[in-house]
Parts: sequence; structure tokens; C-alpha cells
Amino acid sequence: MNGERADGAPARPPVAGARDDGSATPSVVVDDLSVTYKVQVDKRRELRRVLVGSQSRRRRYRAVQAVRAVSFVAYPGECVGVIGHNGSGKSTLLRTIAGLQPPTSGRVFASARPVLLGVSAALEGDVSGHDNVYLGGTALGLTRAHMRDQVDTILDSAGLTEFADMPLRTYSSGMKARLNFAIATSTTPDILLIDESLGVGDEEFREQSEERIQQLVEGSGTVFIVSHKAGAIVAMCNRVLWLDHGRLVADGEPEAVVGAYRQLMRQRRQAADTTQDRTDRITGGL
Amino acid sequence: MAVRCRGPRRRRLDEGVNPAGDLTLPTVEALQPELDDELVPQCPDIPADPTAVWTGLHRIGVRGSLGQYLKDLWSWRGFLITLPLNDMRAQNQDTVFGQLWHLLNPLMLALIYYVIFGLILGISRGGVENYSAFLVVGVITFNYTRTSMRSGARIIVSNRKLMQSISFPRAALPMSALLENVLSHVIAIGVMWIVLMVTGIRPTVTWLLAVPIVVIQSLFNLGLAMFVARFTFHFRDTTQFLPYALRIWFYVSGVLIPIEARFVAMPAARAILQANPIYVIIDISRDAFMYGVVDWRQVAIAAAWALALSVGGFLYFRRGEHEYGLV
Repeated sequence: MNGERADGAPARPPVAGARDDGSATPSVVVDDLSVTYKVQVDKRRELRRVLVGSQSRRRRYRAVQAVRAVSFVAYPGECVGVIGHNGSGKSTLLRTIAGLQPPTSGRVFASARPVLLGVSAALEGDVSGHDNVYLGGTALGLTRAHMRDQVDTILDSAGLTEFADMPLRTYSSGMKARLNFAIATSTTPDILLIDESLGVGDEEFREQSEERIQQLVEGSGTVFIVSHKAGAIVAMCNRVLWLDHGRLVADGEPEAVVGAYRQLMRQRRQAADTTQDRTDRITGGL
Repeated sequence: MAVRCRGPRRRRLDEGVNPAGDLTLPTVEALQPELDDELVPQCPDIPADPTAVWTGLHRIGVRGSLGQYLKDLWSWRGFLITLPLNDMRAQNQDTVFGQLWHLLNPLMLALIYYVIFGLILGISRGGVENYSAFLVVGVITFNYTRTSMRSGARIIVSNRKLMQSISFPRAALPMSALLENVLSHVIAIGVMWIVLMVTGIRPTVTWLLAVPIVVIQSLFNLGLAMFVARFTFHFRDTTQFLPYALRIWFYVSGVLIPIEARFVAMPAARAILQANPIYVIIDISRDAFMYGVVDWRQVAIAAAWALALSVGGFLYFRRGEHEYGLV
């Protein structure tokens, strides 16, 4: 549908056959999931408010439905891209699958402990890259003995061996992203959730990470990728979920879904232009 | 196989607040006629209990059993050790004395109290012989609980980012903080012993009681720290008044004055002051390190406090588990 993909990009793995015959065990089951954030609009809670009458004690909340009644089943061997405008609920969906955000209603099941690779990392700026590998790995539940065996491999695959002794705060954002990615994928997780964290790296890192993701998927892992770069998703994934204002509006072949997504975004942009409404244009996303 | 998802998804749209504001833009419906039927998400066939149909699946985002939680904590033991190691390395990285500060801190503390109360004021108060030894044991023992509670109050706020990005049993955080505190306390006890010997006390076999005393006080502190951690999470002002509460607790815990001798004339006040669990811990420490005796009844009371507080604090902390990492 859309010819964005570069010719040299690696061929996408075929859609896993398991998905169609229904006999295989899924890796992630999301059943009628809704997540509603209760955001306190008036955040002041000073003494006067607490003490004076019940009327002023009532705080104003605004409910934001980040994810609305989303259901899908993902299988081993699937690389699932998640697209949608800013605030469409992509990150919330991933955080819920990771177990960081409890569902407001609905259920989530997984066959293994999902590993979330986010933009904000668990790493500590004041200690060396070497020590941070231990920190990141043990934070995922690995033992120190395991990390002792792995630390050199991880630093090497991140291309940071010569910077191992430098404190992390001296690393560039791309170097941090490399380190993060290397730690998260060192265990070959069955379920890997990637939230926008591949965007910061350079071309070499992009190629390496795509290759590693391909390996995980071929080794019957399940990878979810949230990204604004639709082209990257088309290149890597064999299935795409499209979220719009928290709802799952399309689920299927990457090129077709991404094409439809782009078409809607174009329409919205035009509508925003004709109404001259700059605010809508921004909040509606590109 | 009961199908749980209800009705076509296309129709159940736009209830509640729209996160992007009130859009007057083409909605998905406007597009969907052009959207291939294949792309419209089908209601997946999800059984009522997927874990029974598909073995190996487990539920995400719900609180598991206590047993499972303890098992998880055990598998995160590497993290529990790495966190304080890194913290200690980071903390004194830019200082000249570096790791030596773990030794210097209690030494300075003991020295200041020794100079002020032992030399300048130079009196034995309330009939206490060797007042500086009396003081040093009290100060160092109390200091351990004080630092534990203060780090408990910080733990959730300062590890917010970590909890937002990784799911792990959150109790690992107060536990690792305690591990860090217990290490510096063990060093402090060594310093305390040196000071005691300088003031003329000979080591006795009861100094071996340091081991059970440290275990008891650590459990006690862990319980308190976990309680303070969650309490501070809900009521941030705690960090402001905690230092004052600790100061008052310091004064009533018999660190500076011998409660036993001072309140002979007031048995009711004495009973209340002596019920204070920190006083009990300080009391058994002084017995063991200064006088070479053991009051097993006091040890039992301290152990009961430690057990009650650690179990209670742990359960209280775990009840808030799912909230700590929310954005």
C-alpha cells in the first residue's frame, strides 16, 4: 500500500501459522482491557482545604480513558507493531502488559514475564557502565553470578567495552539506549516490549537492534514495538495494532494498517487546516 | 468456550472524556468504509479461564499470593545486593576520604558526644559511671534506627523512575536500603567497641550478643522503614516532620539520661518510658557491652517488637505495592 520500505531492508518474517489454526498457546492475551487514569485536576491539598467544610474538600478529578475495551491475542513468533497518535494509549497498553499499570477492567495474561524496554531506564548516572550492567540485569531478576558471566558480552554487544569504567552520566543518549537494549535482550526474553526507545540510536544501532529483534521473533519470542516511525514498524513487524483514542481500530497486515493510519492522519490534518484550529491540529497528532 | 467480548467494537465509541479534547475531526468510522474488512479487529475467542485452556499462561497486573511474592523476592536477591553496592559506590565517589566515611561518621559522632559530655561537662550524670561509654552506646544504637527511618521515607520518591520502568517486588527497595544501613551500623559497632575500650571497659563474652541485637534491631528498623515508606507516599509532609519526631524520640529514649535511676520517684512515668522499644534495645546493648550482663526478659521483649513490626510493616507496605510505580 505504501512504498516507504527501503529495498535493502530485511524481509519480514511470515505471519506465524499458529495464529490461524488456534491450536497453539498464545503468549499474550488481552481481554476487553480498559485503563482509566483518574487525574486530579485541582492538585492543591493544603491545610485550609482539608480543614474547612466538606464542599471544598471534594477534589476535582478528571477521568482519562487511555485504553478502551481492547482485545487481542498474540502468539510466539509475532512481532507486533503498535501505532497511533500521541496519547492514543500505546504506552499505557505496553505498561499494562508489563504489569506496571493495573487494568481498570478486563484481563491480561502472558506466558512469561514480559520485559519492558522503555525510554526511562533503571540505570544510575553516578556509577560506571560496568556496574550499571549489574544493576540493570539484576533489576530484571537475574542473579549476580549470571551477570558476572554476561557482563562482558553485554558491554561488547553494546559496543561500550572501552567506556565500561566511565560513569553513566558521561554517556550520550544513544550510548545509554545501546546499553539498555543490550541488557534487556541479553536474556532472550520470551516477551519483549519496546517503547519508543530505538529512536535515539544511530544507523548502526538501528540495524543491530533490528537484527536482534528478528532473532528473538524467529526463536519464537513475541515482540511488541511502539514507535512513531511507521516505516521501521513495517520493516520489522508481521502484525500491526492501530490504537486511536484508546480504541483498537485496526489489527492486521503491517503495510495495510500503516497505510490506512496515514490516510486518516492526512484527513485529520486537512480538516484541522480548514477549520484553522491549530490546537486540534496539535492534539490530533500527525 | 465463552466469548467474553461484547458487541462489535465499531459501535462502542466515544464515551467519556476524550484524551485529545473535543475533536471535530474525521473519526475512524469515517475511514472504516475504506478500511479492509480484514483489518477491522475481530473479537478474539478468549475462554472464560484462559489459564485452564492454555497452560503456561499467568495473569498480569493482579496481586499474587504472599508465597509467590516471597519467592519473587528471593529471585530478585541479586538486585537486593547490587542496589546498595552501587549506592555506596556512588555516594562517596567525589569525596577525598571515599569509603572511609563509613568509618569516620560514627567516629565523629562518638567523638563529639565524648568531648561535650565526657570532657567539657565532665560529670557522671544520674549516678552513671563512665558516662561517655553510656552515651556512645545509646547514640550509636539510636542512630541506626534514625537513619533507617529516614531512608525509608525517601525510598519511594527517589526510586520512582525505577519502579515506573521495571516491575519487581517493591519490598526489595526498603530491604536493600536496610542492607546498606546495616553495613554502616556494623562498622559503627566496631568503632563503638574501640571507644568503649578507650574509656576503660574490657571486652566480655556478652559482646557476642551484638549479633542477635543487630538482627533484632534490623528487623525492627525494616518494619518501621516499610511503614514510613508507604505512609510518606500517601502523605508527603512526613519527610518534613519526621526529623522532629525522631528528635523527640531521641530525648525520651534514655540516650542521654539513665531512665531507670532518674525516675525512681515516678514509677508510672518510668514504666511508660521503659516500654519504648528503642529504650529496650539500647538497654540490652548497654547491659551486654558495658556491664557484661544479659536480661533475657528484655531481649524477649525486643524480639517480640521486632517480629511484630517487621511482619506488620511488610504487609502494610505490600498492600500499596501496585501504586508506587504509577505515572
